[in-house]
Amino acid sequence: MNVWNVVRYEVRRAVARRKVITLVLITVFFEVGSYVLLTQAHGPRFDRVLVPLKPYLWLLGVLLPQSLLIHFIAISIASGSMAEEYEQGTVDFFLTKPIGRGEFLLGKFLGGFLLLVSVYALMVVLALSLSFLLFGTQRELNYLPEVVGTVVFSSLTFFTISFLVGELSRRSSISFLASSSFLVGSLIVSILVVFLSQLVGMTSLEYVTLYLPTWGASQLPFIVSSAIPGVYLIVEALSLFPLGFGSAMQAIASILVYSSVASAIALYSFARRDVPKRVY
Amino acid sequence: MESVSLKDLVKTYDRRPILRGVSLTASAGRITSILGPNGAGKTTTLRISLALIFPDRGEVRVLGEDPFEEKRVLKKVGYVQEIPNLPSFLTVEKFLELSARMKSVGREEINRVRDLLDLGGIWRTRIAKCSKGTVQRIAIAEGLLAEPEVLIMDEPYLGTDPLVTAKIRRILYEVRASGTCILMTSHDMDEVRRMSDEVYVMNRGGITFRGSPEEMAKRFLGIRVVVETEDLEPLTQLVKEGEWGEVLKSGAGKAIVSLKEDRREEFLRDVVERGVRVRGFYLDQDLEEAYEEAVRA
Repeated sequence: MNVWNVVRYEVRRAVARRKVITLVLITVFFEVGSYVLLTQAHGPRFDRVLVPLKPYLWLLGVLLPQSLLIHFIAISIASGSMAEEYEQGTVDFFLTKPIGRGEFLLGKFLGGFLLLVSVYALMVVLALSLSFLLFGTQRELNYLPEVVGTVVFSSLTFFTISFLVGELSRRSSISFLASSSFLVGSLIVSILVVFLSQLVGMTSLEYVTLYLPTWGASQLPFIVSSAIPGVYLIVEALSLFPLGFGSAMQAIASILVYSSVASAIALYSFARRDVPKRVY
Repeated sequence: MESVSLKDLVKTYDRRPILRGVSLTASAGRITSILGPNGAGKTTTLRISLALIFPDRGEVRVLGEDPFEEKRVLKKVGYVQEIPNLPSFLTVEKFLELSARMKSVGREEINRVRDLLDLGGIWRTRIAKCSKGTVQRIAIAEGLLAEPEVLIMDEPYLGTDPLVTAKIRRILYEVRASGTCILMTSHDMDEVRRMSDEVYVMNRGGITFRGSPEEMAKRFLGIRVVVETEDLEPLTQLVKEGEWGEVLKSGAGKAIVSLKEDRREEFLRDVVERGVRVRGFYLDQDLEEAYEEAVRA
């Protein structure tokens, strides 16, 4: 019961902050901007590519945030989730109530994740509305739950990592910077490894990237979406990594391992550490 | 009945001892105050009682339960922070509703504390917009939700004006009368003297004194009486001749006399019989001075 109280509080707290409004604005800007841009693309060469894709452009908006934006939003929400409670001293209020530390942590996690899902749901609604409105009837929508589900699931990796860093550092700015650096660093290393493997023709090298958190977190929805007929070009264009290596199961395993290890460390830390008085 | 019982608490931060075997009890229907200079370990002691800080060693019992193991006991515990850090984005109403939900109490209880602390006028105001004194009142209202059996307060008068202080004092008297155990820290010696049934003095992580404010004054100041009179000269002579003790301070119509023994009544009789016109006669309980001595001890 008290877990639900913390979930509600967390959503409310996040909504009250300007950060969330900024995230929603960024979301709307990216989604609307991308579709409007496509309506402006005219000419025989564009038409040759775009016209066959028009019935599948819902996927563009649904997958657009997947490569990077959703992870940054996840980091932005999760980095302050625990850290700001320490910074503002409000953690005392909760921990002096009849609620276990594990329950509080779970409530904060679920509340933050619910918010992330809500921001993404807004993107999906915008993608569907704009694709129907601007490009007519859309096809293969039966894949929508699966694609959306994998995007939500894959956002767990950096959400959890950032949540953990926030709990360990107890500073939202450090947590945001460290988690973002981890995301970008992992991405740069992955891209370099892929580039190098293609350069020297050693495809086996590409498999190193499978062990980095960015691969599973960013590739799962693309792997799943590549099974949708007629959308290969959209998937290929949005995917950061070349399609064709690594399976959906490997991506799921990667997300699960990173998320569960980070959650376990966060729980261990929170259950055993002191909560000192807020220092002014 | 012991509502809070702490036994032999030891806590170290970065190899620096914060608490060195602190033992303390606070009983139902009594106000127990912890005094001590900054860094003495008062707040750490309170936070251990609330299961916010883990002791390295020692036993914690709140209403007979270990709050680290049995979180449900915290439903019967109210807590007021030194500087209340409340969710500033919530209105007073929403904040108390949240707390009430977490303590599983209903609307009636929310309305009770709202009326008790006069929060009706700011009911729908965001906490961020409330003044320091008002935030303190909100925090106390929240601490009193669910009629706690133990109320733990860290410096409840910090930053409050005299009116709010008086209001808080009245409420605490009522709460104590209802059988609640109040455990608090304070630097306000006057308030401590007025309100506390028992006082603990802490310094450098240890307890240097335990007893009532009167006992504290007696132990560290001796038996001091204030004699209000214009006849200061004869009084001084009388004290010297009668070997009652010594006059510590004299002037502005009063003298502070330190008596060798607690023979106040005989001393007063002697003073009156010798023709000294006495306007007032009372025990000097300057807790501030006693506190300084207790800390040094």
